[in-house]
Amino acid sequence: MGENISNYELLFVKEIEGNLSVSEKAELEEWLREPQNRIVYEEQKKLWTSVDDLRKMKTIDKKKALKKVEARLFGRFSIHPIKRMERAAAILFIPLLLSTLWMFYNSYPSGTIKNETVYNTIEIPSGTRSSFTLPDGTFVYLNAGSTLKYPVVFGEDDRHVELNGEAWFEVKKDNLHPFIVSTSDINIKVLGTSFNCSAYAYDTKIETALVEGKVEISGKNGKNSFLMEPGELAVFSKQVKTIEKTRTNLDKYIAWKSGKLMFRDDPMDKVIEKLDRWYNVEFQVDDPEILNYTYSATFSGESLDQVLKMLSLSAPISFQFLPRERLDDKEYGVQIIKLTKK
Amino acid sequence: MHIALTKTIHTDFNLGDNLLLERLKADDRKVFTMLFEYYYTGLVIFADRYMHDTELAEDIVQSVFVRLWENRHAIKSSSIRYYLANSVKNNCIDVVRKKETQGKYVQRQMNQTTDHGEDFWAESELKHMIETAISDLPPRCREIFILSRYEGLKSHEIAEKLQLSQRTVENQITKALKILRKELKDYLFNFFLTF
Repeated sequence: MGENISNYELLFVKEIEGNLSVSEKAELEEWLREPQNRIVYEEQKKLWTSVDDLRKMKTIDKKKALKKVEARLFGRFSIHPIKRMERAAAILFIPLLLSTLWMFYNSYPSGTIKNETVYNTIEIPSGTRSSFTLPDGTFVYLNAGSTLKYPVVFGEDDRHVELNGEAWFEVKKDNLHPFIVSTSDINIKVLGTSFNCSAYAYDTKIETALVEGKVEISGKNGKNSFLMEPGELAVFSKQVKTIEKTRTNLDKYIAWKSGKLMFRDDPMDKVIEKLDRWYNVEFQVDDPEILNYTYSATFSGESLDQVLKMLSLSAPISFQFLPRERLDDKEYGVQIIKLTKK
Repeated sequence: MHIALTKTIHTDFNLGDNLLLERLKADDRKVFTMLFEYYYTGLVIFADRYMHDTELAEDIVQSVFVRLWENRHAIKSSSIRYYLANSVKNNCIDVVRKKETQGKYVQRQMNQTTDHGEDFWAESELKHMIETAISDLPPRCREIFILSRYEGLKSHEIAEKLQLSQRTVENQITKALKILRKELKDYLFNFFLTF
């Protein structure tokens, strides 16, 4: 019996390493018919994976994960009191300067596949924002780096638009023709209301902030729908495919439409992403540790340079504008800014 | 001997659960941090058995900890360990089901994971158990087992490295497994047998 187990256990090592011959495989299977042997085999496997588990556990970055969780729960990390005062000053001295918004209106007819529907596509490049009114009277304010596609004439049943990016909608009331915003993963159905939707293709989330009225959110297939009340925020996670509804202060979600850049305990990667789009620049981050900082501030009309100075006052970060690369066609490439830990 | 020690440590932590929960309900963030540091990696590995995606497993476990803090006043369970493991498991099953309806996962994977049951160890517990048991192996046997399991070398690579025959290496690994299995029997397999 002892001899037998030993022989079999040898086969186990071979099996794990994928070195089992056909006859050995048959031998192993034969041996496993005995329930008693089966238990030994399962225990062996269990032991093997437990050692593997331990090795994997050691590779997991526990500290980083804890920081992420703390950022979600408690917001920003401790900032020195003096720096905190400087930041408060930064918020107080907001010049009431409305930045001149210029519009990049790229309107062209496209696609005449079904029902002869002709679409307009409005594309707003990074660094700019723009507002316009749709054929039904709905007011739309489109944030930097966003696209909105809508039919020149709305259909008979509903008013359907497609959004990639972030937009503020003030939907003209029309109970007979619901206004539907399609994003990559969810649909938002509206009767008459004001709300903000952020659905950038590269984002892991789609955020809908409802200020007034009622909207109904559903999956693309129209299933799993639920209603939102004013003051609520619905966050759809593209990874987990779930939506979480919370009641929260919506200011930071709609500040952009008044030309303000607002951060409230936002992790640095989100801050960088927003600055990217707002100023049409790119950031290079040397130390991933930087991405763990969280940040709160409101900017209104400040230049990028001013914003970065403020940022480096309240977080241990320094920044550097890299020389712009000259492209072949005599144009300059996008401005890259390097962030380093102080 | 060392096994008895492991068991004591483990039980003590469980016995302290009431106290820990009390501290947590009194908004003690240090206790929250301690629980996170103690359980996080173990729970990620536990979740990964369902998800087969470590990043997603980490997201799920992080959300469970966020909810542990947010709902701390409403927790009814008397065991934090059980509460955490159960929340992680339920979340994983939910996510897997959602993915399945999208046709991304096959039923087979779900079945594979169910027989793991409630099997979950904190990193320090597993480390203590396995490493003390390994340190009790005969020297050569230990060396080979560590090369195989910790450094991920295949038998023939170990054989080359140590100038041994592959057969000898396989024999030594087998011997190590046999000893460890007996030493750790009560601890690693109790979940499995009761499932």
